[in-house]
Amino acid sequence: MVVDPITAIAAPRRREILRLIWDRELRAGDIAAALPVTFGAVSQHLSVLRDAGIVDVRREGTSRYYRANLERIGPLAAVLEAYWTDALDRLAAEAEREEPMT
Amino acid sequence: MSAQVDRITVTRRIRAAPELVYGFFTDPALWVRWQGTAATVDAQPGGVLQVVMGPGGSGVAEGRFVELEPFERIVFTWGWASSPLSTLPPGSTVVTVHLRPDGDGTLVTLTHDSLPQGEREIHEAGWSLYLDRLVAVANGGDPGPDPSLRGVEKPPPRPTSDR
Repeated sequence: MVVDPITAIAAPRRREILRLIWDRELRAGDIAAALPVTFGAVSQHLSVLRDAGIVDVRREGTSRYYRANLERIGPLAAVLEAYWTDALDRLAAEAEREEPMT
Repeated sequence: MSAQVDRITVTRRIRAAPELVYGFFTDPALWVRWQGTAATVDAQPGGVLQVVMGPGGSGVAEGRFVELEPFERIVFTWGWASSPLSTLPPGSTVVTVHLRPDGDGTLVTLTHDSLPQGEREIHEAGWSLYLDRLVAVANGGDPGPDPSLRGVEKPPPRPTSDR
């Protein structure tokens, strides 16, 4: 299955995974532990991201380490980063609203 | 009654990496995309595997995971808590799924061991049907709703794709 990068990042869960491996390497098991998903689902998402060419894998012994390939993500990287910043801003605004008036 | 037992093997090639195929056997939401309408998939040794199939959930396959070797091998026991077609007790037989990289794809070999002779045909037809659906799903297609156990008895005509 050949996937283009835009299709690959269209899935919210894959964006979450990309964010976790944006600037560091993680194993599929580490990612599954950080998100409410199974190892199998993570391995499948990583496979799609790798097919799209936007995630690299490095083998060390029996382990595989995954990391986003920012160069290949190209202009989409800015879109994703803006998306995450917006989401953070919304979260902060939400938290402020819910803070009790004192 | 014959004590003869047998093994069936069903092989398919999927145009996707083993990492992708592995997910379809280890995640409940991914499992039901190719088999059943509801599934419990606790993918760890000893973990429960239950797949509900058939109209009104009349078929309930049950077993446990025995071994999981990421991207290479999944072993689970198999039988039926209820079935209009099979009398295999839950967890009474063993299914092994081997994944082997094959160029840009994966060779999936499913073997079902220790099947009593009377159960061989129905399980071979069943796994063939479901692995065909797995191929379609893994290749990015949609095999449609689970044809369920009726499909094993008499395959429905294939809907024509309008792609």
